[in-house]
Amino acid sequence: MALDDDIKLVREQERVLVFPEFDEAIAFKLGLAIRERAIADGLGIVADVRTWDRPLFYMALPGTTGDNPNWIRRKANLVQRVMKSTYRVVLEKDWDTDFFPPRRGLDNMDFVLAGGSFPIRVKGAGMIGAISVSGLHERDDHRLVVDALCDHLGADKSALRLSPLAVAR
Amino acid sequence: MSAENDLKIIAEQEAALQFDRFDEDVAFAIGAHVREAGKARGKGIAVGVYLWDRTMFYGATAGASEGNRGWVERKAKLVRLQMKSSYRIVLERGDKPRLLEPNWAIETTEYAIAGGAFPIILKGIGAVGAVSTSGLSERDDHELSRAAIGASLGLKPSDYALPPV
Repeated sequence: MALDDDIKLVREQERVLVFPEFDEAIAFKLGLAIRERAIADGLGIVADVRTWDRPLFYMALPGTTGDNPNWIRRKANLVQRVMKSTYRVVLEKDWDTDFFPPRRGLDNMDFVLAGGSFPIRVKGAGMIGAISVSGLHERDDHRLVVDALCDHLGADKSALRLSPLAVAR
Repeated sequence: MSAENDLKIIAEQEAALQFDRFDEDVAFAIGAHVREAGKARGKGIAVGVYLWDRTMFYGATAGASEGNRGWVERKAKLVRLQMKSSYRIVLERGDKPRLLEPNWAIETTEYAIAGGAFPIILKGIGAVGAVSTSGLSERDDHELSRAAIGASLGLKPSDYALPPV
């Protein structure tokens, strides 16, 4: 089933896309790569790279609004809390609403069930931050981030890529 | 003991005490080390080991109060703010008041300008957390945190130690 395949692939993305090292220059490089890709493809997005203690990169392209940084914040919060990419949380969820059930204690104001934020994992250190995109369908937000991570880390993009949205539906 | 000499040594501590890897087990070992050191001195101390996203360890010895928890957390927040040992910040500030200046526009009650919290620095990444101790003098708190990190890196307590007062 397509959903199970997607979940398996996203888990594989999270397993493989691990940095040997990470610093401000790498954060900027990743953010810039996403920006250039979005400009080339004519996508209106914002991109954000942060570690848990501070922001390292933020940029917005035409077509985005003041609402996008709030999505980014709530997506990155979810990565921090559950240590998964947010799109995986969306794919794996087994309840109907598009917000968290009250018993999870994840207030909709601060945590959003939406794909597009991916953990920054560093070998030997674990998860230290998140890289996030907002502006497209959540699946495409996620794909942009994963593509940039694959390029930076030299991972096999063709093996790790989720199918495009049209095919998925 | 002069502030200049201490600052020089603390800079060496921060340069030397860096991890190739860090995980829950290392955090637990550091926290447990601080607790044992506190017990050996017969003092009530509290210690927290934090990554910026979450608490990895918290422990106390008999005599530590809720007040110590506040100090532990507020000192760790100062490390997060400035990415330096909190004792180094104290010494660098010299005679300035022990309160962040109003023009920082930061909730001053959430930060303690007091020694005892030491950054967890990962090679190739930077500061990802802090080890924070409260219960002794701030200089001794700093040294407990420092020695525990050193021990987890295979160093002796005397390595990079501040001189006795």
